[in-house]
Amino acid sequence: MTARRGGLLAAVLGGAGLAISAYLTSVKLAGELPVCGPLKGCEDVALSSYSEILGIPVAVFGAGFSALVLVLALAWWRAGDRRALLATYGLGLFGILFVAYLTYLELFVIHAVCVWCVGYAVTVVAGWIVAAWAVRASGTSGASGASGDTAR
Amino acid sequence: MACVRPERRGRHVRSAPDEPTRSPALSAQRPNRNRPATPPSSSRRERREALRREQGGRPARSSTAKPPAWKSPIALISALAVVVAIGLIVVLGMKPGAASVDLVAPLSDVPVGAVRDGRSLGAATAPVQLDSWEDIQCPSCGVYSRSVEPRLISDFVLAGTLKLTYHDFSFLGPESFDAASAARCAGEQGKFWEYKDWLYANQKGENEGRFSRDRLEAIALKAGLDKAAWGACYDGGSTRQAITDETARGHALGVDSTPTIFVNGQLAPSPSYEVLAALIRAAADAAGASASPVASAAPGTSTTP
Repeated sequence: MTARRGGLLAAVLGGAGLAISAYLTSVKLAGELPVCGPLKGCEDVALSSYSEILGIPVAVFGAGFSALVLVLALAWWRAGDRRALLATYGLGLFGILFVAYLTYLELFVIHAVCVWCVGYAVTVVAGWIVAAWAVRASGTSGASGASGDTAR
Repeated sequence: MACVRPERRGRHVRSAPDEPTRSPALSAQRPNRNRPATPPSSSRRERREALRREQGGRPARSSTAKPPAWKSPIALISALAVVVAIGLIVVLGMKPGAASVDLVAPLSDVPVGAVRDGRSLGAATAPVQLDSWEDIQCPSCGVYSRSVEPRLISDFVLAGTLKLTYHDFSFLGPESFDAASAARCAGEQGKFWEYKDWLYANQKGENEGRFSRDRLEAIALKAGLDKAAWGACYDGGSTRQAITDETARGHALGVDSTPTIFVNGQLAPSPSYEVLAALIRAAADAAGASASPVASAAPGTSTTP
């Protein structure tokens, strides 16, 4: 896979994260609980005080974050814009740290695991890994990424 | 062999002015790429100066110096991302503790086999009737509900020997009424006993926000209620007069503390399981029915979604 095509993968991951967070947002705003299936943890997490920041559902921030990652990844994939790649990388690093904090809250404060939150965290981590790999690949090749695909 | 400074190494292969020049054949075999272009007759000092001039004027290998690694865009972006993330986490972690809606689930579920009739649990034909007068904020009522009542249900209610009926005796403050009202509204959806268990599992203090509307609504969701219907009932306040009236009836019966328990109309001296079980068996024997405890319901069998 070339570094630029990694942008497509990162965009897919961003889209998946956006879908998850959009679902959680809609459920939260409707005052309902997300579908948990046999696992009840997502209900506990959704009802906890940590499900909101300044009165805004955390899922809203997640949706905004994923939408931004999606746009940047697409810019990187389609236009080869290295700035978009670097921004995707930076956002992903920020995202990893924040979902790590939220996961800590789930496990050690709320004592529940929300499968939707875990799924979202996976998209964030995977997206950053793809961006970090692409940064390294495009950087070591000497290409800016704008001139074309970088052979792996 | 002595160590030789690099700038002097070349001298060992250069022709000194006093040394005989190398043969042309030898010179052809060894191209003097590193030798400065100095006349063979130049003095040693002149050759040294020429060499220094050449080295001083020699362009550097790369036209632009590489910036240090820590100044690279990746490093700066990484540092910025880490700083912003940590800063945000610290700020969020320092926020004042808002009223948490973290809920504790009841330890036991209402058995599936128990017959329900509003705020009664057990067969209508059961020979023994146990009436409990409770305030949701009362800690002793919480102990009874969490520790004694489940055993009574499993040992006597499921056997058809006992019918439990809950009565409101709300006297500990406004949140007692709020919780009781919320539980009655849950009863309109057939979930009174589950909702009551959730209330007792999450009671703490008196009128401290433990039974705020947000928390009562959150419990409604946990108990699997229709939120809109529950909210309409709770906000409508239609149950509050009934709570007041029932509390007044309790006063009339001599209830002045909670939990107060009657077994077939007889005041139980204690809400402990041993005392109540003895009273239940005695009442059942008096009624001519078997009062042998049966095995508790299998774990996990309940109507709680």
